[in-house]
Amino acid sequence: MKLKKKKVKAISLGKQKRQEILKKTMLYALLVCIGFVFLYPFLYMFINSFMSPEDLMNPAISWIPSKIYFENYKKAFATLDFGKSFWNSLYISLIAAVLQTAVAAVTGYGLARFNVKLKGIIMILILATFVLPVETLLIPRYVMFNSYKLIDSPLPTWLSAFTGQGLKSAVFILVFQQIFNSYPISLDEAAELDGAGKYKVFYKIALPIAKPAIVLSMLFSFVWYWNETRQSGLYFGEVIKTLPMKLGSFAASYASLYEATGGADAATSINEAVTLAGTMLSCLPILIMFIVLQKQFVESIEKSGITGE
Amino acid sequence: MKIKMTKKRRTALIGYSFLSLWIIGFLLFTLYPVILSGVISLSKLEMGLGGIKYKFTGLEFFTYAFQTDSQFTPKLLESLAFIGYATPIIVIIALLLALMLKGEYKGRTIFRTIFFMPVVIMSGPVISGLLGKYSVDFSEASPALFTFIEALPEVFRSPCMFVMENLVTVLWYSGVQILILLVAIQRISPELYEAASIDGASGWEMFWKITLPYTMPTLLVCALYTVIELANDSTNAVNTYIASRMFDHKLGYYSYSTAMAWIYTAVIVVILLLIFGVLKFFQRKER
Repeated sequence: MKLKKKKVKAISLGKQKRQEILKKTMLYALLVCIGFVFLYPFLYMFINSFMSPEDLMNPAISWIPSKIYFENYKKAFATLDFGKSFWNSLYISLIAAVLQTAVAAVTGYGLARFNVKLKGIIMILILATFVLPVETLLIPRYVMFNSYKLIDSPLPTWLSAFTGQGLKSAVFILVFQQIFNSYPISLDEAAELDGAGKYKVFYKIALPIAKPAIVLSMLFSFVWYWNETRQSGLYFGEVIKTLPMKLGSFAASYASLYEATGGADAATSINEAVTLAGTMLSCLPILIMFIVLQKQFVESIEKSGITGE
Repeated sequence: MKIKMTKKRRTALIGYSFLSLWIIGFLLFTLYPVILSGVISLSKLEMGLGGIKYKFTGLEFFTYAFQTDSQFTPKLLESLAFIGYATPIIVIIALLLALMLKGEYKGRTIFRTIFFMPVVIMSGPVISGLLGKYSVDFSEASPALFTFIEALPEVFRSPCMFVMENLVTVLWYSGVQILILLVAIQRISPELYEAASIDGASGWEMFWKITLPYTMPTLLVCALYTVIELANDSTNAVNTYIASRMFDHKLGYYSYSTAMAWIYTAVIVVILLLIFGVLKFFQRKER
């Protein structure tokens, strides 16, 4: 009797295990399929950027180029004026990210740890700055900065970042507020009893605790400023070109570089492969950064615990 | 008593000093431009030698947008339809993917990285360069599926068609939402699921009775985020149209685009308030 029971158990366990394996396999299959759809445009870009004009014309070749053709990258590199526009993108976004993070931390701490009278209104206004479409502010800000003669310099971008009115500043302020709210106020009070002033408490106690929020704010601000072209294009796009801006005007710059001189034949005229090589190059710096720091990206969201409660 | 009052006031002052940068920024770079934008949209700008002149016109440009301009209303509706379709689909897909990604298994970081990558490289020029041109024409790629969807009743057909036509776009916009939902799902206490499975609940029942109610507020926050993201996207039909009319001197340079931007803003804000209302309703119900 006892033995029989054991056997039944073993069989049902085996069934459960098999079901588990089946479930896992299905999950993996689904994830791989969806992952492929996610990566499809990217793979397409990567592969086609190595195609020679002959390969592009050849209907028999759709996925694997007959030879790896680097000429596209050479041309795209020159068209994008890569060195210069990379540097422009880098310093403009990096400074904006640092400024935005600093002001978001300070504002978030003020909201989390002080019960000032205007707190309610300020919270509503912060949300309002997030909700208000960029379109509404684009033109009047341009008119304003133009009258202060700040156009054609990155100052409008930096100034609005440093005063918490930059790209998605509201999100970062709320993230900081949440993280400052989440640790016991007694820590702050203990430090104050030891004679630290409020600013010192912020600097010595609160900021180290908010490290995940700092990482999140730095990474995302940097990426979003890097990719932003509409506002910055208006403010300084005529004079300082960032990588994505150069990509936006790729066809035109290519034409003036290559087509004007030697008539348009298959070897010099712009083709898909060159454009894709350009797109690839303009994504590459951010992509490398993401691959190196991907753990921080994902963990920063998880640790700062944004779920909207 | 007196000392206590001054101490309180001192603390408040320090509090405001923390907020001062933001307050100054708000007044300078948000409130003032908003007011200026109102003025610009209600008047006709004239660029002369002496700088910009404002000629008050009232609501002329607002009525022009709806009555005279044959392009604005269709573009507005196109963008709204896109937002209306894409938002629920993005949120649902993000929830499904988050459910698939939860838990511990081999390769989860790789999948998370893949699903999150588009967020990092998405910019106006990249999107118009990649997604616009290379979306798969599925009526050719898989005719069987196409005819199947064609035969569905209208209610199912148009969302299905939308998903198929914009599959990659929809997926690419869901990166941040997937991660936020993943955090929310992983926060639900495992004991709840254990208790439910002891009581004999199936996975399907647990999803509807535990997972969904607990992630509802997060889902709505994701919906808000998605609407804002899509509304601000520079490749969106209205936004490109507004930008294209920015230097139209016959319509007072910026005046007409600003008026259009205000109309668009008003519509988006109404949508956001609706979602926000639903969110508040759920939050109250929870308590």
